[in-house]
Amino acid sequence: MNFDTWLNTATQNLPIHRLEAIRQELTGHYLDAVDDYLLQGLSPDNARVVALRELGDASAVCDGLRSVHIHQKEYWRAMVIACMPTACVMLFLPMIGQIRRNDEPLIALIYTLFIAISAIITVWSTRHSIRMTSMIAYLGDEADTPISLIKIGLWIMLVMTIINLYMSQTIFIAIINTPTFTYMPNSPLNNPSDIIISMVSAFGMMVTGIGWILYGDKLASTTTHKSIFSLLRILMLIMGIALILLATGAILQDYRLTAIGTPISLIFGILTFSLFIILFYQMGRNTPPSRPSLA
Amino acid sequence: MNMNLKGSLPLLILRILQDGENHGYRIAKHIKEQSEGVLDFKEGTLYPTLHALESQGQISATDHIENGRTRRYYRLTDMGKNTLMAQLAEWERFSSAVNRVLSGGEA
Repeated sequence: MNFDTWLNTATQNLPIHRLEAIRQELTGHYLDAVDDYLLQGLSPDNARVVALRELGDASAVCDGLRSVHIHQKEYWRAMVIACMPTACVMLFLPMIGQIRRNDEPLIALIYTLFIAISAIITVWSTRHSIRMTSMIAYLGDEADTPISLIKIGLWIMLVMTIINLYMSQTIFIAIINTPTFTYMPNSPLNNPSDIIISMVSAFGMMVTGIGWILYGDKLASTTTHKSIFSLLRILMLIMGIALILLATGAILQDYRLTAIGTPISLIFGILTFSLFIILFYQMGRNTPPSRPSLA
Repeated sequence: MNMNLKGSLPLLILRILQDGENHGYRIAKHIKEQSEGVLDFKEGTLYPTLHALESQGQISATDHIENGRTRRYYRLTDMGKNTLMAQLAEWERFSSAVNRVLSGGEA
């Protein structure tokens, strides 16, 4: 193990606002120790090895730092954040079919802003929920690939959604789906820019779907919270397949597939976030509200 | 020696900081040197304790950049000074009692 690996393990999933400062502090300690061992006459390689050994078990340090920096309020906050995409969808559902960009400019603007903000909230909420879930599951580097796939896919869809809102002259009868909050058309597109946006969005959706399936597998392989993570795996698997189906339908312009994929991804997306909420609620209940005792 | 060191670490840190502000690496080094290596511990475990003390208000911290490295200097707060006095008194009482028992009640 080198120092970078040690540092990543020791600071894994700590609160973002403290993460960089803690990493810099531990790095400073390590570099000071290496300097001291060099002055004592050790070779550079040996100095690094001894300095790293003296830091001790990275997982134990991580547990200690988590117990200090992650409190009940972190879980309550995660619970509220996880509620947001579902709340956005619930607010949006009555609007489906009413988007007329070229009719009432003010109403169109309100809808457009609502969708753009909802899409951003959904991406943010998904990232936060995954980070908290990984922390609870003690997932390390092994979950990096699926998490990256989910993030990359979501970012592609977010950008495409905003470009679509800005550029498209098509009056979409939009299909909105959780957890992507992305427009997918349900009728053939004629405008080349709409087709490109739809294809790129579909690619992002497919990447996200694969990410959810792989992430569910990683969660189910952990030894903690077995029942809830096993259930999450099933939900993520179905949601992932539905997203892939939906994306395939958009790419092939086969709107029977999108018609099947949309409600399934919507329902299982909401169920997945509901389970996140239950998980964070349980963790919050089992975490003391006050700072840890020093005894 | 790791015997109950985890429980004593906050007291040792507060005592080191009574002599003036310092950063984590120096605090760890002082503890090891002043105990002549008897109190040996893995240095990474110092930071959860330092951060817990900070979050409790026993110590405060400021970042300094020295030679391109960020060092977080800790210092005792008034609350920390009071805690240190109380814990030192408690430690004296405890160690005297143990010594009396070990010496067969002669102390």
